[in-house]
Amino acid sequence: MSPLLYLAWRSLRGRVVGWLRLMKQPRYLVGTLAGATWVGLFALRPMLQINRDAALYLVEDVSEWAPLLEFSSALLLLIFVSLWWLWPYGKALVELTETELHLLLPAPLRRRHIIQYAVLRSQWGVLFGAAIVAFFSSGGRLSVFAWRLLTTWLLLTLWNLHARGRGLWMAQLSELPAARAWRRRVLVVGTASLVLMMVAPAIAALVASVPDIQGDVSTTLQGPLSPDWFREHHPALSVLVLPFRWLSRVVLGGLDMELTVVERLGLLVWPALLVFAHNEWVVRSQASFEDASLARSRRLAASQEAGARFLKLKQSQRRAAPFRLRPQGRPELGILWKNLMLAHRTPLTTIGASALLILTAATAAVTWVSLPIWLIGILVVGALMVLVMTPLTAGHQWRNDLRTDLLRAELIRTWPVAGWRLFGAEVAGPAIIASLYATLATGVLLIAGVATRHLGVDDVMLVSDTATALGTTPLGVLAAALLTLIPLVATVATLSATLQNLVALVWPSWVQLGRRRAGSAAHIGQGLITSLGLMVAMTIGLLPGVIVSGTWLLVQIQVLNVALGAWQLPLLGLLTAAPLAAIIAVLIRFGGFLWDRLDPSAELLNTAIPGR
Amino acid sequence: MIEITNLVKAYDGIKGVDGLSLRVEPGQILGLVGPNGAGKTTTLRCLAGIIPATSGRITIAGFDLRHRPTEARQCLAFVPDEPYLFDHLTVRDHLTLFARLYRVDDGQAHADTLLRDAALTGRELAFPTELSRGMKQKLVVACALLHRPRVLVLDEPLTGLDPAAMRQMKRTVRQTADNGAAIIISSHMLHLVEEVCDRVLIVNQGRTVLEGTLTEIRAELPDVDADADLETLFLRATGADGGS
Repeated sequence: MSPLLYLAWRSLRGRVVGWLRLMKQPRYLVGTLAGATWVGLFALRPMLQINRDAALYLVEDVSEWAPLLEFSSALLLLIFVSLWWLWPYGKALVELTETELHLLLPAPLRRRHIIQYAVLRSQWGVLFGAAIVAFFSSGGRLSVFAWRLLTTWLLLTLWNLHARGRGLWMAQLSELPAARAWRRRVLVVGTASLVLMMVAPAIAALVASVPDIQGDVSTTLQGPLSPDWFREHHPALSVLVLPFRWLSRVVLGGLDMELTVVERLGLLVWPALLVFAHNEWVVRSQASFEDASLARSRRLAASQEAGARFLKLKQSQRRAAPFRLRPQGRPELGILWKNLMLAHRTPLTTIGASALLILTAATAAVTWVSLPIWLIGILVVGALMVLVMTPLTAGHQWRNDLRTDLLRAELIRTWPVAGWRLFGAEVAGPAIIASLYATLATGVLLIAGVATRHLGVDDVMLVSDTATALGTTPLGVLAAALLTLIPLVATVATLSATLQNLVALVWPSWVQLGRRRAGSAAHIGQGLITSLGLMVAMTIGLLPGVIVSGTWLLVQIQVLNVALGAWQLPLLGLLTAAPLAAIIAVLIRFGGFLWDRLDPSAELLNTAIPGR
Repeated sequence: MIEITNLVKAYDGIKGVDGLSLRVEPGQILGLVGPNGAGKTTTLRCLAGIIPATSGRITIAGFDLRHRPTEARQCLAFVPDEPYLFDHLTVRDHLTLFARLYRVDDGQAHADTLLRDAALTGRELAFPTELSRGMKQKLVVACALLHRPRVLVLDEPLTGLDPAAMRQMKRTVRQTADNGAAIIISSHMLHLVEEVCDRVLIVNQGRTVLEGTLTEIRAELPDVDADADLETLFLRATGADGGS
């Protein structure tokens, strides 16, 4: 077996074995089962049903549109590829890790084999992408899934190889003598420009004919939108588009139920030939990929760390900190200080004062100046989105917590801080930032509320009736409602961050540690599990508060017949948030318990374990 | 004082450390030596509370690490073989953070002294990525010494240091011991161990092979010269000299 094929095989085997080894630990097995159940029941099943209906609809209705779809997608592809070749930049990317580059390049291996190895390695991503597309477009039928997988894989591989080939070709230009490189570039740019010049009149004619399209669709399809029309009026373009039509036919052919197996396989011949030719083009390239690949692998490694972006800071900025940290006081505040600095060094007092100043100025401005209703609408919608989404996704958005610190487990495990205090301090970073954003959003909502006064449309904020009922002004209701929301969003944000950090502690091997967020299947799965946990915890946490608050309201209004005052809203908000806060406290204690018992040997410290 | 009694650390039933015991008195420096995979780093990590021991007892300055971990860690400083630092914190930030973590009242003044000793004065606003490996190592040591630990654990402390920094490091270690700290140094640089340490513990396969002063170890081993150096003793004790 070729050494590189052996390396690829052993890498895959290593991944599978590593995954199976994790399954030997009950927490990973339980996590996998819970995740699979959750994804199966709540995510894939409904989507599958929707896709089945959509796919059936598509199959029934596509035959009429097939020629048009085939032609137009081919035309778009031709335009895109031409434009792409006009773009003067490209990198010789052969994706290898730093280790692979250092071990493989000096080894007595043929250059084309190394490139082929990199191409082969990229196939995992291509296959995964193809499987996702096939799954969601197969309508749950195995035969369609298999066809979709095959065709999507072929097309994605072709795209992958074309991108690589182009990058290597561009890189090689810079290594050629200037005159020769210039001639080649002119040839390519000229060809691409010529293609686009041929396409332009056809597109213009097509656009011009659009107003004429009316009535029966079938008639229209026979007319200006038909491939025959193009063949008649733009014969050269029709020929040029033909190889691209053979590609788009591969996708659309799968929708045609009348095709025999042989006919279907016949459709694959052209893309398969293209893949083969592209592969040869890529692996035989003489472009120097080494420097670009090394730079890429280093950039990827660096992206896990925060280092690079901080190097740009000026001396005065390097002196800044969110708050002054004195030696005296609780040590965990030091951890929070450190984590906030990972997000930003601007002092919290400066942020608070600036926000207050801007909000006050803006409020004063909208008191005098009338804002158009559409702008108020945008402000309200934007602020509401931030207000709702930021706390819920606090744990996803910011990673200035244990997920970054676990990379330095050897350092932070020695700190003299009780487990639960350390865990709480870690959680506080993203929770505080999310709460700041949510508070800012509430300020924007207030401004929008003030702005509506000029319009005489208080009902835009749906508060007039409530204001009357509560015996206050609409602005009073808004202010009370926002004061009610702040403790709620703060607790939800803290819960979100707490759950993310708990996941990192329970399943460190599944969590992308460091600042970089990864999009692999495992991380998507982890995100889904966390979302499930968040929903469950929020339901459990909010339910007692809602019951208590509801009972309070019922007794006050229905039994005692006492009207509700606006001042009571913040109190009810606190009452609702209190059980959630209690749950967070329990979870933080649990996090501390896990932290104290954490054995980071295998998953974090990469200890050479004897016998393995 | 450091006291380890019958320490066992097992991974999936395989023992990385197997019943190791040691004791280091205040003011004493113990050199921990052994071949690769002997369990040195695992022992130090258990001692620093980074990984939990499977069984056995660890006491740091009189505090049981299992039952009073925070108090034990307050007395301890660990310098790992890799200089783990925070990329987003400057040199000064690191010392400020450690002063708070260990509640060092004169943190600022002591940090200045340590920075001067480590020849890092003038680099206070540098981020770790702007420092050489040796400078990072010096910063880690400065952070470790900031709270005047009663127990100091160093894993390969001289890695990446230039000769002048090595000398400074040896001087610092000796000075820290003279101030009453109990110190363990794990290193493959046997000349360092021989030069700096009062006692040596040779481990192999997670177990103690020999322990004592060089004179005591020489006496334990048959057929060694009276002036045999630590390298000879180490190779003989671990059987790595081929039995010659």
